[in-house]
Amino acid sequence: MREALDRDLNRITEHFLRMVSLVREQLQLATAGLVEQDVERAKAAVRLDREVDALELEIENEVLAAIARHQPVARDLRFLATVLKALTDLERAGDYAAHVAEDALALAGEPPLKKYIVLGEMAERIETMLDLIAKAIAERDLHAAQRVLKIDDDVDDLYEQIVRELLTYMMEDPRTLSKALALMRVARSYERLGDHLENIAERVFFWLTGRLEGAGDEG
Amino acid sequence: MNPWRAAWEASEEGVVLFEGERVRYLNPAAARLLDTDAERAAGRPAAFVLRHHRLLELVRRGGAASLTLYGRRVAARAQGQALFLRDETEAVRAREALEQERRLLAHEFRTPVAGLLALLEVLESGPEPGEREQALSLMREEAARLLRLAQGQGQGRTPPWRLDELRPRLERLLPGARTLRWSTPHPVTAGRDPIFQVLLNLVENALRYGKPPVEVRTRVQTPGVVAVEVVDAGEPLADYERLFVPGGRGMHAAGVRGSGLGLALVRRIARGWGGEAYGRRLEEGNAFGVTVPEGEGVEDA
Repeated sequence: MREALDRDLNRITEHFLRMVSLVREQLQLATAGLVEQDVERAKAAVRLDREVDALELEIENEVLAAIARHQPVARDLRFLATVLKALTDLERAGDYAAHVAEDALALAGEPPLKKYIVLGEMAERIETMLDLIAKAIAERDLHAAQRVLKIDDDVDDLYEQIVRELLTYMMEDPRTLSKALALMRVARSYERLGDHLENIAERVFFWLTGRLEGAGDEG
Repeated sequence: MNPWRAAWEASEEGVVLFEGERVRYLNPAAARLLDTDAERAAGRPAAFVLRHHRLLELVRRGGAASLTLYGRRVAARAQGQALFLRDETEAVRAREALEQERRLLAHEFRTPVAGLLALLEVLESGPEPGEREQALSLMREEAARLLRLAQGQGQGRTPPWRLDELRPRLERLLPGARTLRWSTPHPVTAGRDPIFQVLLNLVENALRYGKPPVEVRTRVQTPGVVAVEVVDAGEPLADYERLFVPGGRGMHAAGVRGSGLGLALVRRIARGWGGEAYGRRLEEGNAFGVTVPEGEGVEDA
């Protein structure tokens, strides 16, 4: 019985790790599409979203089947509940990466308003958050989950910084309005993406400790 | 420890060995690149250790790929039941730095060569008497300056001289520079070639992105240091410092093609003589300039 449950849990973990990895690739492609004005990579990021969505449904079915088949308790049940809740956040994270790619496509072909240094930094931080989520799940690493929460604070700070900068652009020169608004939308997508990853990290904290509160207290 | 294993343990290249879908062995270099613990990884499913779908595909199908793993640029190669990982982050950075140098050098040559072409056109169009000699003399001077630039010469300190000496050359190479105002009474001791290159960039920027009137001026910044500035009447900018980062462009450059390298180049040149480059907001306008060692005085010709 236990062996069968472990087999199912491992398969679900593998598939969830694959989904994290796919979203990371989506993010890398979308950011390259934006920063390097690379239309092909931006299109690839949009296409990848379909694979992420399909995997979400597949994992959801596997989780429900595992609960029905094994009636797990304690940490096993918390793990399945974590995956079930985290799936929605991860799928939304993929959607936001696709939104960045769509905005990159709209902005491509025109001279950039500015070099996208802060947006690139936001993307780098989010990539690290995805890496840490994968590590936290694969290695049951509480510290990695807590680091995700800390990095999300950096993402929020960078978001504030870019919004201030873009507002200055818009106030100083109305010709920059449409590009600045598109970039603000991109920054918002990154910020929301970070928030969804923060939710996942909180869920992982719950899985590993059985507590919902205090995730951001240490680490 | 058997010698094969000892060699792998010491290797700078990451090595992961598999047995079916499980990791059998991971050397320390691979553990670092995969952000995992080598001992704990042994015996675990490959997906849990690699945590990257492209790496897993490589292991299953074989082949090679370049990936970003935990912020590092990694070249991965799978062969049989082994995966080899090589950290290429530093090599990629070195390549990017080299490319940046190439672009800066191209930028340094672009404006003067365009000026030389304009002078050639003057010669081809049947110049007025006297104009031919003037154009040829300028072309000779400019070609010699570019040669010195390519050979890394002309960077040292000089006897004191005044900037308005460069005015005729600047006006011939950049036709828009004829509208400039000059107020440059303070002598300097930096080389003429680097100062000329700085002025070419600052004046070209002011004419392209700023608003007239544009003025070249000097002022004493601190005792022994002169600030050489190009001032225009443009709108305030959001962030002056960012413009000195290669590729960092201002909002008034929106819609105008450009490399975003000019001010980065100006900073590099200024630091070459121990000065600094800066941009600042004035009450009505913007100033971009460099600090230069002051000269004691110039004998009038």
